[in-house]
Amino acid sequence: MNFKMTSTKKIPSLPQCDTLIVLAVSAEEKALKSEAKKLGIKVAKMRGDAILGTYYWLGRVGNERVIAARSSVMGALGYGGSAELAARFRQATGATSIVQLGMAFGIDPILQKPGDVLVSTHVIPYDHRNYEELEQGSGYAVNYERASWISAAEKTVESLKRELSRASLNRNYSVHFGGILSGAAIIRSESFRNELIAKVPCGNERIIGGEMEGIGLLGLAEYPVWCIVKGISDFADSRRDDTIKRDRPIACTNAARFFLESLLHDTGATPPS
Amino acid sequence: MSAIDKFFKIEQEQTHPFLRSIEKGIASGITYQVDIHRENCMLGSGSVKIYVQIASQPGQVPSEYAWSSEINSGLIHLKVRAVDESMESFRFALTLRDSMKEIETRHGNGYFNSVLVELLKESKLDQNEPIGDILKDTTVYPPNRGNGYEFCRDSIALAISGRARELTRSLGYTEVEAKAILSRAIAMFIDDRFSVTSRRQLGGGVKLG
Repeated sequence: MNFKMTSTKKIPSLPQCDTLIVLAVSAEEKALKSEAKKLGIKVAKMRGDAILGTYYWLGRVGNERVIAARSSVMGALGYGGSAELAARFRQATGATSIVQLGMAFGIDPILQKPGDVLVSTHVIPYDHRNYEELEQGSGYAVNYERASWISAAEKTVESLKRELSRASLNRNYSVHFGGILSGAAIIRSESFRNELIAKVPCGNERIIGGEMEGIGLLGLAEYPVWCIVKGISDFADSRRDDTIKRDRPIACTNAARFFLESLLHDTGATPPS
Repeated sequence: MSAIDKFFKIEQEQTHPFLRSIEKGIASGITYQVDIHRENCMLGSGSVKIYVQIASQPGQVPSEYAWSSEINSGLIHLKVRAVDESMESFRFALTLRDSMKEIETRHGNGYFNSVLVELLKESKLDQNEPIGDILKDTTVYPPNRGNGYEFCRDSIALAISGRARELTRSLGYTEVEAKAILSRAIAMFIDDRFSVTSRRQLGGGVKLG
């Protein structure tokens, strides 16, 4: 059988960026584009690159050249999941900071509200757990001791803290910094959510929420280059699906707005006080 | 005397227990070497291990640690060189990365990138072959000259000159040797930071958006 070679095309030059934004679902993509437009940031859709496929070029935002890309599957795993996508884009664009942007679940419906923004100082891969048989076949116990906390990129966390401290900006949402649970499960159980909060070792830090894609960024480098910035869309309880339908837009909007504003306002040139 | 009092009685500065054992070995005449190994990894860069071995017994099982800036800087302070100059460059690329972290955190990711590359180019370090070769495929926007510009630039320059001093004064390399090691280290640091080799392998040249 003969295969006809297609004409050899010169592979297009790859764009270089400083910050890569990783998105998982259409609501996150829509919110990023919408908030960027409101802030005067042009978002150009780039199609058909041989290596990168389709992505968004946001150009220079503050001091960062920014590219955004959306994974083709929800979660970290599989081709086109956050792990593969972020690794491919990082290698191709030279991104030195990677942010998983979008929506997450909160853990406390009293102290948190939908639309509040969560910023990871750490990520806790809660899939790292052991199942141990109980005596005489009476079931099993789950041991979360292996779910160790992994630090996020301090440079991104500090930049977002600086943004939060800009008191002149009126926000109708709160921003929480802390540990974010990350794993493959879609959680519609208050009991399981509370088990995670109670049993995952947390040291002196506090857990503020959970999501599904951040875990895919942990293998990008042996030093942290990533951070998760997500708005609360639900509380991982039995009402999750209904809550998400209602609160997904505000969750994605606030996260996108907060992150983009941090890029715009962080001049980088402020000397230490 | 309360339990905490004993911590106030220690007069000498305490170092990592591993470094203390190396210090004892050196005092008894042993010469150590450092070997660094980074695991190959398809996705991103793999974990880095630091191995310390006795120079006269290269076949022995070395002491192994995950990369730690504390242990590395302690070993430099104890004048423990890498196994060869190429490995020394790799070690100093990681040392540069560690010493830049605070500057990057203070000034932000993109701003740090801009000032770093501009400093290297304006200092004519791009005329140095390994650095120039990597920098030609590294683009940044010019940094704005705000209040902290000089502070950021000077901090980066200090981080580099600090490593130069470690090579000559702590590790005893000649200036010619140290310049070659540091040049390669800077090139490796830039290459790793901006994924230059990966981008070349993927067929990407420079495209400034």
